[in-house]
Amino acid sequence: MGTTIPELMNEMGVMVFRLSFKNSLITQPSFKSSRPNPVAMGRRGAIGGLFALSFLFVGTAHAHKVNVFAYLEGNQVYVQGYFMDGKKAKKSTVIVYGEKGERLTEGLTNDEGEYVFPVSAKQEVRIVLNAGQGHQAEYVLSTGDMVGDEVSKAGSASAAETMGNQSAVVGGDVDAVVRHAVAAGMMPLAKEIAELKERRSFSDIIGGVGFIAGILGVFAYVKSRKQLK
Amino acid sequence: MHISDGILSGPVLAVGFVGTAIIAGLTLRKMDIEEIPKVSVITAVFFVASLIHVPIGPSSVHLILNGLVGVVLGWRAFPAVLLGIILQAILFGHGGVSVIGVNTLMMGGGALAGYGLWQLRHFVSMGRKEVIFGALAGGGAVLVSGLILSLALVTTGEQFNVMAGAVLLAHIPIIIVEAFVVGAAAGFLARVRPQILAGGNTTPLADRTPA
Repeated sequence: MGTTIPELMNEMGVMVFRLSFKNSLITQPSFKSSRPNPVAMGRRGAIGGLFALSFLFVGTAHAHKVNVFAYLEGNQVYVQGYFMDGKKAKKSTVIVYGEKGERLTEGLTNDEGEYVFPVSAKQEVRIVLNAGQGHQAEYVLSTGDMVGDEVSKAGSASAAETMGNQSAVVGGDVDAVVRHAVAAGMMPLAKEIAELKERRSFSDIIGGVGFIAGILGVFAYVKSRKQLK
Repeated sequence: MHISDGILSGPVLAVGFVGTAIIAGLTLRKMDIEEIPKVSVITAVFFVASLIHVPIGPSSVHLILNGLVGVVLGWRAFPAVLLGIILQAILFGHGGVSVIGVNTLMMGGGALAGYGLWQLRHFVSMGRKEVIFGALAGGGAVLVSGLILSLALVTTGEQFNVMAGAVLLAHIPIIIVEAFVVGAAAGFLARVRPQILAGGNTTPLADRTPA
């Protein structure tokens, strides 16, 4: 949730401060009290202190939305599970479904939040990762072209003569290296895109608040018309 | 604390929607037009609270504040939570559309439980009790939501004891934080503007004769 948080916190902080400042004036209707009520200021300090203190206890993470990402390397599929705050999804159940919804394989992610499984055929697999406590995510990976190439190459290689076989293997090696590099390079990008999709910008939040005011406004309008009748 | 799409089975999702519709219908009854601005503001607070993640070390937390919704809105907390959850699901993919019902039962149920705990203050006479019962409501609401979450996950074949244990363990920090925040907020409101809080002894706005 990266960059917007500090700004958000700042704005919220200023808003809260203004609100409580106004309130402390309201509670003191006397004309003399043109400066903020010292009691209220003290309370605010105490509340802030408690708030800060309470965060010290927060060691274990409160679980957040989980995400899953997968990429193909050779004919192995690497599945990576992680929470939106960057933590790895360890010991999470991964279930892989085939095109027709049949269960292909399943297992647990390791301590790095990774799970690896082999694919043999050209198809689209749906990878579902469950991190427990109601957190689940899925990722659809097309093992289409890449594996198709690999499989057909292997097939032709086995059918070929010794010389042809060797060249096919060399070609295969280069392919594997390139694929490995591309996959490794894509990983952070894919993560970033997933995070961008998730990002709640300040304007989105304000938009939601606008929705709430609007919906309840319509509700109030209907009510008021009924009351007038 | 949201359940994602695709975990629960169809019947459970249906129960969520039906239950939510019934409770929302009941808790919306006889809503006064004067209440709407307050409901609107608190819904916005609830909606925004769970979207703002406060980074702590390598991880981050966000407030839930369903206890505060209960403390301020009373029975109206449920429809407020419903609206907040719908918008979170549609705008931000928090949870998902198919689980709006179950998630509302979970968070709104917690909010109503918070309101119940808050009302217990009438049986106690002591100074500053709003802070204590506000804190109880704030922590209790999250606790009850966690129990409902565990209950919902039992239908997927999890064992209740194990699930509830894991959920509550993960939520201990947020329960403590919520208790502090809601307690402080309730204490502050009780001092500054007590008529905002739900279930007070003051006459409802509608019954008051214009001065």
